[in-house]
Amino acid sequence: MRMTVGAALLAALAFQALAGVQVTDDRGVEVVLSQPASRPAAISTFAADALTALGVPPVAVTQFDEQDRPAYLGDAVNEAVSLGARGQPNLELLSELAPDTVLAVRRYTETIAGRIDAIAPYVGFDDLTLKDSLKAVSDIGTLVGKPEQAARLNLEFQQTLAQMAGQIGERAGQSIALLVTASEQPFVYYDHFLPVELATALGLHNVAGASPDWPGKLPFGFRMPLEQLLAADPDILVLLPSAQPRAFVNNPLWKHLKAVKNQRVYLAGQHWKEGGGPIARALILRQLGHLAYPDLFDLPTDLPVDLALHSFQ
Amino acid sequence: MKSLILVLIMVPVLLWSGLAVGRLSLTPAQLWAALLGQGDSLAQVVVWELRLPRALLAFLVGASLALSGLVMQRVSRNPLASPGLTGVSAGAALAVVAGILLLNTDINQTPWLAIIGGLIAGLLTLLLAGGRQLQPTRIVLAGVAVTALCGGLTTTLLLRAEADAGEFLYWMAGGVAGRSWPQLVLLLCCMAPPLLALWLTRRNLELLGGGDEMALSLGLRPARWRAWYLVLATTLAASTVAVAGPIGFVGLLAPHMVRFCWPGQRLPMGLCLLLGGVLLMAADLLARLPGTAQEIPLGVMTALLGGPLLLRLMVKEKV
Repeated sequence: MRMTVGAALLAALAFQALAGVQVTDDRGVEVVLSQPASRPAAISTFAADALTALGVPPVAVTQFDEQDRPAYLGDAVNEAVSLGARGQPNLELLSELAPDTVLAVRRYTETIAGRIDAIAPYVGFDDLTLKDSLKAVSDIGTLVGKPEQAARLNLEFQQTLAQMAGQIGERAGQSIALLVTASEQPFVYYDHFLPVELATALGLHNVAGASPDWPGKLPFGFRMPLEQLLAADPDILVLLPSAQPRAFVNNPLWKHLKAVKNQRVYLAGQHWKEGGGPIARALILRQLGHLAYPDLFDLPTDLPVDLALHSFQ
Repeated sequence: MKSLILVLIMVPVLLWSGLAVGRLSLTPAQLWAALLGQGDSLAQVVVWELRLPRALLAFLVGASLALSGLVMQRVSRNPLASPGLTGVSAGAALAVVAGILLLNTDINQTPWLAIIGGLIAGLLTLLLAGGRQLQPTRIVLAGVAVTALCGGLTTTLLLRAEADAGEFLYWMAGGVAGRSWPQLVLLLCCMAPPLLALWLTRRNLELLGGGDEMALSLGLRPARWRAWYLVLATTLAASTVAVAGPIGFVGLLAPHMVRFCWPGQRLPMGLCLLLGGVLLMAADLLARLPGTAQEIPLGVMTALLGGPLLLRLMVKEKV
């Protein structure tokens, strides 16, 4: 009997070793690696963030706002080669690096997935919602052979989120809008965008609401007419990075917004736009907690200037 | 006469509708109260800070484009000449995109960039079309070439813009949404000098339309005056790009509609201004009506309205 059980265990282990690692990416494609990835390339910062948190430095990364590499990930990405923008990664450079898998944002790279696959197995992630983030961290953990560590990262985050939400109690109900754009009409994010989902979990109400196309994930926001923004008049406004000056803040209507009058307009860092990684999402959560309930949650300190939360004047 | 009365009636009707229609629905009584600075403060802010300047801006942009198109068609003696087809809009857009992306220009410098870019593109078209011996048939070809060149360069720059390309594409679709008094004042400042200059020298413009020989026989220097009017028309069109992005069709369509509705007018500048303004106000109103969360960009709406209208005119005029 013992011999039979032992043989079965050995066979299972041998099968697992032969089968390598396997995940189903967000396209629904099964990706199989013969062995856990040791030279992954990250086309988008959420993947570089997850790899860093898992202790497997990426061989390649993409730009993070104006930085060639996401500086907040520190030494882990110092040696990584920058492939340029996540929408147009330099594939020639990527091929020279001979990665063993390429972790990418699906919506930016799906059209070139075939060409990336020719270099190394392509894994496409949606990276928009909290569920996407949890799945991406879990899948990346599996792909690099650290599934338990990935599960722990997800669990810790969910516990922190639940704990913070539990502290809010009766104080829930403030309204918020996350705005981005340089134009005269701000782009606002729908409920399913990760930072908005976190805000909702912390008892905030997103004035942009749910996407009419949900459960379709795209688009993840829309350009809200200023009079609609004024009618909704959120308590808190968060401005995400924009390369150009924001024209909508020069509109005479801007000063009539409650959040502006109460000085509750904040400038957030680029990590709010690419926040699916475990390091970034934890930071977003803490920053959200502080801007909504400053007496309950401390502001994360010792952050680089580009990640810190600033008051917008 | 009937057409004129209709257009004159449409101005206040469209203005009133522009003030009443939007996300916040206002009854006539609420709107009147808001205009008088009474009643709901939200309605007052929306009407005074958003809708009124927006409606006026739409009128002025349409009027400028229409007048610019009329002058271009008159000077070039080509019915296809317009800001969109002479490279002016494309040149202005290129200058704005290049200035922001390459030179990190300030938002206050954008209008000047648009005017300079539009002028350079317009003059390049003029040179390619024959310079002093301007050939009407070549102006469209030259305009198409300059438009294509500017469009190609703009696309190249947009590829560099990466994540911000969407912002520029949105701007390039044209629109007056979210604009307010600062843009209105800016446009007024930019369009007042060329408008005044056009009005003061309108007789020479009328003579130029009769051809170079006639103008010469009356003591005019056609090449010099042509350049003068093209600079004025270009400034008018480029100013609109600065505040509302490139908006097509109005500059081409309005002069044709004026000729169709009021045949025999020698230089219908006033009518053109009025009709261009009405066209763009109507397009802007329609752009905000759909039940979707996001408005249709004005440039898209003018193309949707302008294309069929132009085709209908072509059939009626047997062009």
